[in-house]
Amino acid sequence: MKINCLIVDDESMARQSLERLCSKRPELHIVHVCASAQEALPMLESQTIDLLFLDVEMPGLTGLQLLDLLPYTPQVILTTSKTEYAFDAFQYQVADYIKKPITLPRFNQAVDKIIETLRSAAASPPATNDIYVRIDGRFVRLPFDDILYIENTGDYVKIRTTAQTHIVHTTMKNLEEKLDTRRFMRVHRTFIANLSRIIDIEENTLVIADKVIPISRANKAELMNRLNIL
Amino acid sequence: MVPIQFPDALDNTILQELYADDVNYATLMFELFLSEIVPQVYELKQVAEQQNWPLFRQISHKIKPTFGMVGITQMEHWFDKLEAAQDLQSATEIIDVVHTKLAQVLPVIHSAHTHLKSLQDEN
Repeated sequence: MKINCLIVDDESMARQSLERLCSKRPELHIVHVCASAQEALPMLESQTIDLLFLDVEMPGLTGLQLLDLLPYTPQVILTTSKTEYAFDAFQYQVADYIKKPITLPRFNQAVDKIIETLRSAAASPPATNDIYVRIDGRFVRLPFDDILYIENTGDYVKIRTTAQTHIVHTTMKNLEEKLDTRRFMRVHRTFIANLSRIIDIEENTLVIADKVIPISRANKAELMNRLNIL
Repeated sequence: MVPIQFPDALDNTILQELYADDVNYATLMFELFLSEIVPQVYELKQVAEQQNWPLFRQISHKIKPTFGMVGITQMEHWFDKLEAAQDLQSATEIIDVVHTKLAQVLPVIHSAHTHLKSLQDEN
């Protein structure tokens, strides 16, 4: 299990200390290290972060204000030199709250707890039949049944539903992780298909609604295995 | 695993919990403290004289936990006081105490840093 981590702290020693501590745990992969919450926000919006090491008091946007702006809730470890934020930590339901300086035993204790939580979550089936996507500042619910296919267009993905096409600022990887893998499959580098919406399949293409979607050679065998073929 | 030996004047309990036998990590933190944190401690007086209290509190809060990283946890108490300082007179009094205490302990920090670098060279 690889856990994607983001470190946010305005103090250089604290950032480098956390980088060192994370490097001692092979499960942790540092995606980025940010010196402010403003710098972290686009990172958190454009990719899925599993674990956020977050300082509370930072100039400009505070750590807690950053949490209010997030489109999803990663596991959060608040790191602070004050104990006064314990109540906020409880209210924001963060995974842990560590007082700085962060010792190795305390760090390991927090990380062990998070790994356990993430393993349990990964083992349980998806609880929802839909996904919320951020469009023009709103969170729009898209039932999985209504999604026909998803197309990658660089920095954005197009989600074609039975009613319309939504353009969302995210990556295919992020979106793929949120979908029900029993219904959806990456059939090509740039396409995810809803398997129950396929009309027909030819040699290297499939059709959903009026769209001809390419099937990559690498994914063809898996696709055929997953279909109920007579 | 051989724990690093730090000078007795430093809080060895916290230093062992932070670094155990990781000489490279400890060396990096001592280096950063000397190169980045110590100058900021001396700049605090100037910020107080400008009566820029939001910046003063921000710097005081930011650097407070770094003292624990080099085993001088007792300094954190004075930084709690600095964070709460509301006027130039009280801030200046506390800064003077901080500067005096830091001047007393800096030779020990430098000595610990030199020792860590020699351990790094041995490895």
